[in-house]
Amino acid sequence: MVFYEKVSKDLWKFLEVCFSAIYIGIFLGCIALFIKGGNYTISFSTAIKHITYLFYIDRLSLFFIGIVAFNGAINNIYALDYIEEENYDKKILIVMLTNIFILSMILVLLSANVFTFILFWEIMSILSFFLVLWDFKKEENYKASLIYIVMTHIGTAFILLSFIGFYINTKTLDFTNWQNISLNQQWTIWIFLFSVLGFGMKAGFLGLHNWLPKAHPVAPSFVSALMSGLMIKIPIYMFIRYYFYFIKQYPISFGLLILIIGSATMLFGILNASIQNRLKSMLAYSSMENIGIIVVGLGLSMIFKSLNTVYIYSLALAATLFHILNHSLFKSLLFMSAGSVITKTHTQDMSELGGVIKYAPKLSVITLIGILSLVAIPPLNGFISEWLLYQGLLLSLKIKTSYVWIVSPIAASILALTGGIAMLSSVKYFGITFLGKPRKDIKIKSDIGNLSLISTGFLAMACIFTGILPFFVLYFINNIIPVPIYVREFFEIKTPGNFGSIAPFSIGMLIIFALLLNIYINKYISKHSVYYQTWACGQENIPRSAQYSPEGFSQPIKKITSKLYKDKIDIFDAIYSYITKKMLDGLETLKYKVQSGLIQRYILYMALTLILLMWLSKIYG
Amino acid sequence: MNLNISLSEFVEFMAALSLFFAILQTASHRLDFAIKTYTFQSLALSITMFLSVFYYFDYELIISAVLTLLIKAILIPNVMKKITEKIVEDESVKPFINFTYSILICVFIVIFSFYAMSNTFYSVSSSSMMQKILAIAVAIIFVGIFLMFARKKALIQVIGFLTLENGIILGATSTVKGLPLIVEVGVFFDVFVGAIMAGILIFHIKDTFDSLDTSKLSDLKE
Repeated sequence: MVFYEKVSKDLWKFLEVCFSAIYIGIFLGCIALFIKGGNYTISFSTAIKHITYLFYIDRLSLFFIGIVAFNGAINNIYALDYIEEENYDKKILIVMLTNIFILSMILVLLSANVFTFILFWEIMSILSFFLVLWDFKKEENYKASLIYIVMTHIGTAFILLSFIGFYINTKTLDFTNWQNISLNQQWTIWIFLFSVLGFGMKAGFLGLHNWLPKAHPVAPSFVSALMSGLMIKIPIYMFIRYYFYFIKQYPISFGLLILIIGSATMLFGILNASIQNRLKSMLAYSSMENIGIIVVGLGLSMIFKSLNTVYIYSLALAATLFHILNHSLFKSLLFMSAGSVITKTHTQDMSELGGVIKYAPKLSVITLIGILSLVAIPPLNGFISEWLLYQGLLLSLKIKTSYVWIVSPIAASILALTGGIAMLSSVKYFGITFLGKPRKDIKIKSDIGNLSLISTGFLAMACIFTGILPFFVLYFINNIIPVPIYVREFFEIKTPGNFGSIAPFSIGMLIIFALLLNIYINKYISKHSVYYQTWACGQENIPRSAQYSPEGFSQPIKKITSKLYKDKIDIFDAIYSYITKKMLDGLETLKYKVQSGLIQRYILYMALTLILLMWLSKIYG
Repeated sequence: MNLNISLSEFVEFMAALSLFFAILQTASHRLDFAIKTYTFQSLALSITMFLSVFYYFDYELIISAVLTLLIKAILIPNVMKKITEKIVEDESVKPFINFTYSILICVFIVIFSFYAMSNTFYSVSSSSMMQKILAIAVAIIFVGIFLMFARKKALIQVIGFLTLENGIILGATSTVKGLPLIVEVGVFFDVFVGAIMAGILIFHIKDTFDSLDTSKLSDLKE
């Protein structure tokens, strides 16, 4: 009995490790299959006619599955610490929910017909809903999860409509038969519209984003890492499938529209991120910004796909894919580190936090790497992908098309503006939270757990690795895009058309050298430097409430952009709250009508089912 | 007048009579009438089973027929009658759907059953009698279910359930020449116990709700 209790107590740990091992296996298998190349189709037929599970493996899906599996493995390791610390009642339940969620993401990426896709897509949505709802006693979580589930299902409805559009044109539901189909103009427009609404709802495009900044902060941190780092990339994967694999030709305006949506999304996301005072809210809005960057790359590549300019299209697609990988790495890292801070301090309000670096120095260094990666500082990975994107945007001016000449410089300047504000909000994030003194009494019981340090540290290493040596990633990306990006051994990346080149390895070495030199000079040579406390304005021993506050930090930008968004009146919030309320009320009344509590009515349902079945068997039998 | 009817036609006729009594139940205003109709329905069923013996030459069916007669035509109606006398002050059945519409719906039920069961055994190449009786059995089942959801009183719902059971037995006899004896005895026992249980339950409903109207049970819902 004691043995049983012991086993059941620690079973969740065993499960976590098992799943982690499974993901590592999947990750290695992905790499092996990718190098081997080729496409595979796997199908399982069921007892029901017309319903088969169909899976399709090619290099694009392998790339995404690799990302999911890598992050999933690390996430499980991190969750070991996090769950132990939070001490949930139902540990096995949350472990299983999370891992089935990850597996369903992998299966969505693999699925190759409508039935399989919708099945796993729904499993993914519903499990993430439950995970958002995990702390269901908090009012905020409850509201966020309701908005999430309603919006995600509206999205699914639009996705189904776009699938129906394909079905009407091809008379088949297999994705494999949708490759390179040419549709007429009208259907292309409809499918485009439905796909933007459907997948955009999940990815968090501007106007469809409302669930994202609500749901991500309230979920357990490792779940936020999964949702933000991986789940919102899956609609992007479907976009790439739609517009680079399925539909052969489409007008240039599609790409322009996507580009504009992307620019607006990233600007909106970062403006909101800069004024957030809660750790995870800031990260959630920053996810929105990064989705914007990804979507700008996607739109650019769509423009040049429809213009048949293959080399720019592949450059922009490479930037998109690279940024998807980067964002999954550093956003997972940041959410995990934020989770560690929150579990230790029991608050995620920046106006209470401060001075985390004093009691968690290792975690602070790791977070700093993630933050620097987020704002695209050179030796780290964010820089490479944004550089590629800038190259794509600037290179597009070589093509003489009036629309692109107008839109792409604007997009580039918005990207630059976004980068600037991202810098500001990251300085705020790191400076206020990790430096200075705590703004409230915060009791730390123990140190940050080793496993969470190892997992976040591993991600930080991955950030540095892909930043300094991006050739390994570019090897995989080059196999997906039609015109490879020229890579000269260790030292240089060249964009197609000899437009620009960069040597990340040399830059990395230079910066590391400069950093070491700086430390050396500060420590041993310079004798005049005096160290003051951070945020103390050069004074000694100021009271902690006199420190620079997060509100003060974001005050200027709040003032400049006060016309753009107001704190109280959020138009999107109003719309979606209204829709959610209406839908849930409707469901409630429907429930009371169907579940009337009358025995007679339940018997009637049974009889109707029986009649329906007999009738169906008569028709199809 | 040609009275030269074959055995199979007579079996069909008895089965149809059973269906007729089932439909007659839906037209009954009063509980004691419904119970009497059930008695006749079970009697017709047992005659059908008894005559099937000479059609299939499967003598185990005799036991089934006798058991049907004993339990369904004598024992259960008596139990029901006693319950009715003991607790029911108001004998009306309280319909959700009134009697005219009930009979009309029964017409559609019968049409649907014959439609649904036509050509069911086409490949088995059995007799046409089997097919018709199966359709009748399905119709009886549906009429039983209809009784259960169209009436408010608990007792008539029990009768509806028993009618449904009769339909199942009839279908079993006609298609697979009766179930194995042990199964059939088990089923009879089940039904009998079910009837007694229903009686006890009805007592309790009466106790707690002061009425046999099951639509009042919806108060139990939160």
